[in-house]
Amino acid sequence: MFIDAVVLKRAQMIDSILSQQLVNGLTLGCLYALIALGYTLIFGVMRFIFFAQGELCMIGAFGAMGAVFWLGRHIPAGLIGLTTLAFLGAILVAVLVGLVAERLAIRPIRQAARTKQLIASLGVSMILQNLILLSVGAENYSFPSLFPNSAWSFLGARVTPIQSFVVAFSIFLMVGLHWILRATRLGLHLRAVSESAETAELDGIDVDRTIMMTFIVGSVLAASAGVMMGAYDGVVKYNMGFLPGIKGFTAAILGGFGRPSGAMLGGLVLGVSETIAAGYISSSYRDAIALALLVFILIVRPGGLVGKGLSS
Amino acid sequence: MSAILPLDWGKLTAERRLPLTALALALALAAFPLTGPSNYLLHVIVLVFVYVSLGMGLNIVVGFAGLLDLGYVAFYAVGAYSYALLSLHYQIPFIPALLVGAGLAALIGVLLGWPTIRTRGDYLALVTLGFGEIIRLLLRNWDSLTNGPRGLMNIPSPSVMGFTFSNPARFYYLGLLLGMFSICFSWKIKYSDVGQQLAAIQDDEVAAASIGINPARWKLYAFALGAFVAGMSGVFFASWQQFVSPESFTLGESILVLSIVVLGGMGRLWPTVAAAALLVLLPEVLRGLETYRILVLGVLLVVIVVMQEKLRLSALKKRRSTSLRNKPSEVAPLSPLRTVPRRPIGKTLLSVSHVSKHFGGICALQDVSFEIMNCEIVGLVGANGAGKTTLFNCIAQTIPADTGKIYLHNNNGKVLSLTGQSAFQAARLGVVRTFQQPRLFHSLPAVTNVKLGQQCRNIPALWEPLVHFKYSDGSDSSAANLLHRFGSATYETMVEGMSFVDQKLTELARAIATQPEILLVDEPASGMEPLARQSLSQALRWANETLGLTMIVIEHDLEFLRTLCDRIVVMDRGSVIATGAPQSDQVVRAIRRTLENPETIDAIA
Repeated sequence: MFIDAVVLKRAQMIDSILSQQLVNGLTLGCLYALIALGYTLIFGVMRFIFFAQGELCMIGAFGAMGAVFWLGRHIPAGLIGLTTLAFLGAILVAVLVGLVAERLAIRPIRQAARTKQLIASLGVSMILQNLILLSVGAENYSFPSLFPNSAWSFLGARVTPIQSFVVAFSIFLMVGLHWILRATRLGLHLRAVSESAETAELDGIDVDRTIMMTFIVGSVLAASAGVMMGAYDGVVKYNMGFLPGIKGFTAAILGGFGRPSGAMLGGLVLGVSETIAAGYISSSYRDAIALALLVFILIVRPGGLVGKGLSS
Repeated sequence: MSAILPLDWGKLTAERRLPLTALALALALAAFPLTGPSNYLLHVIVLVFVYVSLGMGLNIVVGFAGLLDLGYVAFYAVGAYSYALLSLHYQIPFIPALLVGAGLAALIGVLLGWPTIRTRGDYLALVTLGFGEIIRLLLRNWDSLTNGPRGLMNIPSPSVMGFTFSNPARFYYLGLLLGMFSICFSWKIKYSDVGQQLAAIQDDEVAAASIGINPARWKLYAFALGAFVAGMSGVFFASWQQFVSPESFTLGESILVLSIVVLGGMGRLWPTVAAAALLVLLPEVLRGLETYRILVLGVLLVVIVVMQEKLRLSALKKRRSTSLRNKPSEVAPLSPLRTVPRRPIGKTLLSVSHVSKHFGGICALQDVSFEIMNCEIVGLVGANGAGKTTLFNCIAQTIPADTGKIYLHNNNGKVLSLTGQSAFQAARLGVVRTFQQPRLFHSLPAVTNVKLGQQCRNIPALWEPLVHFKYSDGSDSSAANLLHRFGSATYETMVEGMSFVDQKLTELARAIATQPEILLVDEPASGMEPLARQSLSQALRWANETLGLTMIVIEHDLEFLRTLCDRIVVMDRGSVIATGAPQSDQVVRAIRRTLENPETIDAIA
């Protein structure tokens, strides 16, 4: 009788841990998916991997902090107002940085060899990371708490308001992106340039402008992910974008590179498997596990988990 | 793409005399410790040697093969920790440990590169970035083996045959040896047949495969050689510092080595050596720079790449205009068209049976079956979108068919199945194609393009570039002859900037140089003036009569085909609708029908 109760209790505990990890993994997965979408979008249009996606997240997080601390003081605003301010600040800064990077480093080398494009985009990401390092230093900054510190229970797991917000807002952004791609003129241009920049140009599409718009959309996604990362972890740091950048890329490959819906799926799969692996194997190897998954997926399913993706 | 390798490939003599220069430099540097420099100075110069070696190794990967490796120091770490652990725990002597460390790095390179390089080259950048982090995390967290962040101390000094490298001057000589070895090593790779094939792969992978070069094999080879050099450098580094810790193998180090390669011009040798010296010495001279080091490297990477691209584009513009000015006006002399004596048409050479190909919902080929006889010239006719080029893609395995079989009956009476082969395997078996838009190796002269075709079946062994010097000098006369035969008088010029027609002719010569069993020619006469068409027709006939070459020719110029071909195959919307002699009723009727078919007329319009 007594033993049964202990066994039952332990089973419930494991269950609640698993459901907790699913909830945590889902939150993380949404963030990865947003970064993956940025990679996929820019890759789709330019055919090269723009490394600085993770750094744009970081820039966004710092932009949000700046907006909340400097402007938030003068504007009497509630939590909702501050959150809006944070997102606006993040998006503004990240879009500016993204556009400057596109203009100075990416546009001049659009015709260059793939390797050179990758090197230039790597250079951009190093410049951004080190500019922040040199201006604010290497310490952790605590992110303003924009969300109430309560929690509710869902299937034995603790779900916090920030977690619900991350999932809801990510879904909102993904649906918005889908709508842009499928139902607007910009989306049409984007898809046309992605098929062939030359043909699009001949059809009177302004390729430069379309690519700029792509960078704007990518920066918005990255900045939003950055704000939510800051709010979720509670801290921001100059190199907070590096690993999420690589993981976002992993997510993009997992889902089959070049397909927005795949990027979302890949992000969720990566986030959940990473938290579960960290919970059951070892948390000091959690990043190594995510990276090993990247190598492993390339071996078994280079085209992504579902369908073919861009394999050659 | 061209700026990655020196443009005047054949004429670059300064780099080709490299061993002599290297020897002179080594002798001069060997005298340096005799002047009694401080230990600090010796230390800094040995550091330069280490980075020269690393730069040379990464140059093989980034410069020669065009692969981006962002976790290069992971291989350096593998070498360093191998030596540290082997010498600390097992007292393994220096030379065996050097071989194990470098060999292990190369092995890991193969295991990591094999899945990645086969799929997409640019995934490699992020996979290696991730791999570099995995290795660093392992070194930090695997306490029992690596002693975690504290690192491994008191690593024994290397000793070779009783001679122990115990003081800075002795390490200086060991470092000098390492640097010189790496320079000569990468020089040997660059000026080997493999080096030339890597250049071709970097220019155009599909074209390289179409003449029998296996792109994945040589890229993986270069990647593993780069890892080997890094492992070797790591062994030296550990034995010299007598201490290793994860902090020596950060991403910043990988970036530094990459910056050396980029600043050195990606693929150049001496400039890379100079770049290594500059980037290692500069922070030593300007101490205050240390904080800004990575920022400066980032700016450097972007600025160099952007500048190189600007230079390349402006050089391209210049070369285009000069080539137009010097355009040869003469056309090869005409001889009357010969219609009769030709080789007897033999037995079946190629059989295509029930081949189908879909692209998404579009059916490009539907149950196509036909046979080609030995020594035949067959014309392939059809409206645009009839599936002619798709058929070529399926036969040459550029894009494999969904269903159906393709067999080659070669001269030894063997029947070989092409289905399931790679493009380069099909080319080696004797099925070679040209492309509608000519695909040449832009950074190489026309004559080298043809020479690479001649090497189709002579596959260099893996050790060959390291063992002997095979890269032949100057222009090969048979390759030049072949080019001349095809009326491309510009064989010494670089491909970039050649006229469209000259490019098509050069590509044709390159394909014929592979000595194919069957040649698939995609629209050879498009864009040619009537006189040039006639001489092209003669050249194709010459290849058929003297070389006994079988051909399938796609062409829209029916007059051109009528005088050239023995047989015409007419295609319409993915199917063969008629075959027969050029003037036969059924062929004439079928051609008329495809052109009067309202749907195909729509397709043309």
